[in-house]
Amino acid sequence: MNRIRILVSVLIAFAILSGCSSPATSAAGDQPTAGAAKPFKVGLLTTGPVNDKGYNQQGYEGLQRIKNELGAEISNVELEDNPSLYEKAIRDYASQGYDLIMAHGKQFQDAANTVAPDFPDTIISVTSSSVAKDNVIGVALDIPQSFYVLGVIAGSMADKVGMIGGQEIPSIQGSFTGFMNGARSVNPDVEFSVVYLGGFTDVAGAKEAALSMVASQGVEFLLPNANIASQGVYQACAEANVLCIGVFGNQTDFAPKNIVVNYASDFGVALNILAKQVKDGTVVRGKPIVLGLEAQGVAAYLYNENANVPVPESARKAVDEAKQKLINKEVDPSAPVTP
Amino acid sequence: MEDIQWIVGLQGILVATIRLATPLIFSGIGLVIAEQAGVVNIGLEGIMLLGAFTGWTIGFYSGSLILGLAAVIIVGLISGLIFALFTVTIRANQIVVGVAFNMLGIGLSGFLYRTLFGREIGLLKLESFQSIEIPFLSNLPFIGKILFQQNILVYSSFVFCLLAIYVLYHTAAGLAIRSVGEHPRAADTMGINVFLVRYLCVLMSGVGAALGGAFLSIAYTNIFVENIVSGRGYITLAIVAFGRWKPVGTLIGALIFGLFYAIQLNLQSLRGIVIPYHVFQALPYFMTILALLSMRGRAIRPKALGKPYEPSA
Repeated sequence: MNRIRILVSVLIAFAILSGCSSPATSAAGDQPTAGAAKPFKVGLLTTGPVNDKGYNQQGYEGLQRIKNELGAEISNVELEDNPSLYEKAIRDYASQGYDLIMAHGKQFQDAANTVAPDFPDTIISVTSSSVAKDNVIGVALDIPQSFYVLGVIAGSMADKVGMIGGQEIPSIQGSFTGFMNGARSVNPDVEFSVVYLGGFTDVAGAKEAALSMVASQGVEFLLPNANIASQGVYQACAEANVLCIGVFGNQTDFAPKNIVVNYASDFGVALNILAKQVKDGTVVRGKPIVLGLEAQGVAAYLYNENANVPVPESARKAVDEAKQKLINKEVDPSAPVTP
Repeated sequence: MEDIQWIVGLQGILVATIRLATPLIFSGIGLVIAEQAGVVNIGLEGIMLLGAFTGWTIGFYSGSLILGLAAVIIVGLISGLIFALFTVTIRANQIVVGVAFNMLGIGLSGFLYRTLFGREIGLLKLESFQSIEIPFLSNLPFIGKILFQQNILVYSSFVFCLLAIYVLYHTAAGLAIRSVGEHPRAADTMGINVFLVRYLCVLMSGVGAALGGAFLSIAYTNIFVENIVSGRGYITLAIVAFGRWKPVGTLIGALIFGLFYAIQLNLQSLRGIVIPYHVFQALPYFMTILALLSMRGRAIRPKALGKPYEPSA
C-alpha cells in the first residue's frame, strides 16, 4: 500500500506542478539614473509577463511613454497571479519613495487600499477600477460610451442584432446597454437577442450560440464580449456569413469578410494621462479617472474596408456625430433599455 | 409562413444537437468500454484537453488534419496506458488518479500551448474539418441537413458507437470485457487475462476522450484555447451513468444533453423573456439529474466497477 501512496502522491505533485504554468517572478527594471534633485519616480506592477500582446503589454508600453515623455524614473515588477504578493510589492515601491505606483489590474484593489493610508504622499493607481479613495485612484475606460459608438454602426447596418456575453457581470452588461442605446439612437426598430455563455473559455459553445441566433432568430449582426470565447463568435460569423464587430483588439484576421469594425482600447494611454497629472500636481484625490471618447488615443475604431459590406459613409458620419454627443454629455449611454 | 419558420428553427436546433453531442459521444462511448471492464476513468476532462491541444498543434504545424488526428489517437493511447498502469497494475484509487489526470491535462495543455506559441492566444487558427455532404442522403428533406451534412468526426463518433455495440455484445471479446467488469475472479478462472482486458479497455477510453477533445479544436472550431473543453469531461460521467453503462443509452444521453443545450441557447436569445439566463443554462444539467433520478434502483452498473483486481488473494 505504501508504494501505491507514494506513486499517487508523486503523480498528484506532478499534476499540481504542471498546473503552475505561469512564468516565475522576475524583476526587470531600468536602473535609476542620476538626474534632477527630485526625480519623478513611477513603478508598474503587473500580474503577468509584460510581453503578452495584450493588457500587461499595454501597461508596460504606457510606462515607457511615461519615461520618454515625462522624463520619469521608471521600474516595473512582474508578479505571479498570486494576491499574497501584491501588498508587499506596493509597499516596497512606496517605501522607496515612488511618486506613482501603477497597480495594473483590478486584482490589486484590496492591496492598494490596505497600503495607501501608510503612504499618503504616494499615488497608487488601480487599472480597470472605477473607484477611488484619497490616494488610491482607479483608472478605467468608459465602456458604455465606447460600445454606444459600436451600437450606432450596428443599428445603421442591421435590424436584428445579437449580443453574446461571457457572464452577466457589470462590465459586460454595461457594454451591452451602451451598445443597445447606440443602435436605437439611429434605428428605433432594431431588435436585440442576448445570450450569456456562463464562462469565458467555451469557444465551441460561443460558436453554437451565434449560429443558433442566426438560424432561429434571423440575426444579421453580432457583437461578442466574452474574452477568448469571442473567437467562436467570429468563426460563426464567417461560416454563417453575417456581419460582426471585433472587440478589444484588431480581430479582422478571424473573419476577414465579416468583421466590419474593430474596437481597440489602449490602457497605456490612460496611464500616461494619470502620470502627467501626478507630475503636474493636478491630480484630484479620491476621484477615479474614467476615460471616455474625449481622451485621444484611448479608444480606436478600426474600419475594415475589405469586409463584404464595409461600414457605409452615412454610418461613419453618424459615428462622428455620436462621439461628439457623448463627449458633450448630450446622450446617456447607460440609460435603461430593453432588448 | 409561420409553420416554415418553426420547422427551420427546429431543424437548426437538431443540427446543433448533433454537433454539441459529438464530443460527448466520443468520450462517453470510450468510458462505457472502460467501465464495462470495471475501471472508472474520471480523468476524461484532462485527456480531452490533451487531445484538443495535440490535434490542434500537430494539425497546425504539419498542415495535415489527418496527421493531427493520428497524433490525437497516440496521445489518447499514452494517456490510457498511464491511467491503466496506475489503476490496474499499481491498483491505485481510480478516483484519485482520475482527479490527478484532470489537473495534469489542464496544466500541461495550457503550459505547452504558452511555451510553443507565447501568449498570442487565439492569434493562430488552422483550416478545420469541413462538412461532408453524403451524396443523395444529404438531400433528404429535413433530416438530410441534420444527419448527413456534418464533418467527418461527427460521422466517426457514430461509427465508434456502433463498433462498441458490436464488440461488447456480439463478440467473444465483448463477453470477456463484461465478465471482467462483473466478476473478475470468475473471468480469471476461465482463463481470461483480466489485466490485459482492462488495459485495452482503458486505452479505448483514452482514445475516445482524446478524439472528443480534438473535435472541439479542429472540427467544431479552428483554435485551441486553455480549458476549451469547459467541463464536457465531467458531463460525460453523468451521461454514462444516465445511459446505464451501455453504448446505446450513452448515445441517447449525449443527444439529450446536446438537445437541451441547443434549446437553452435558443430560449435565451428569445426577446422579451425576463427569466434569468442562469435558469436556462442549468436546464441541460437539471434534465440530466432528473433522468438519473428516474432510473434509480436497478442494479445495472458493472459489479466490479472501481475495484482493483488482485489475482492471488
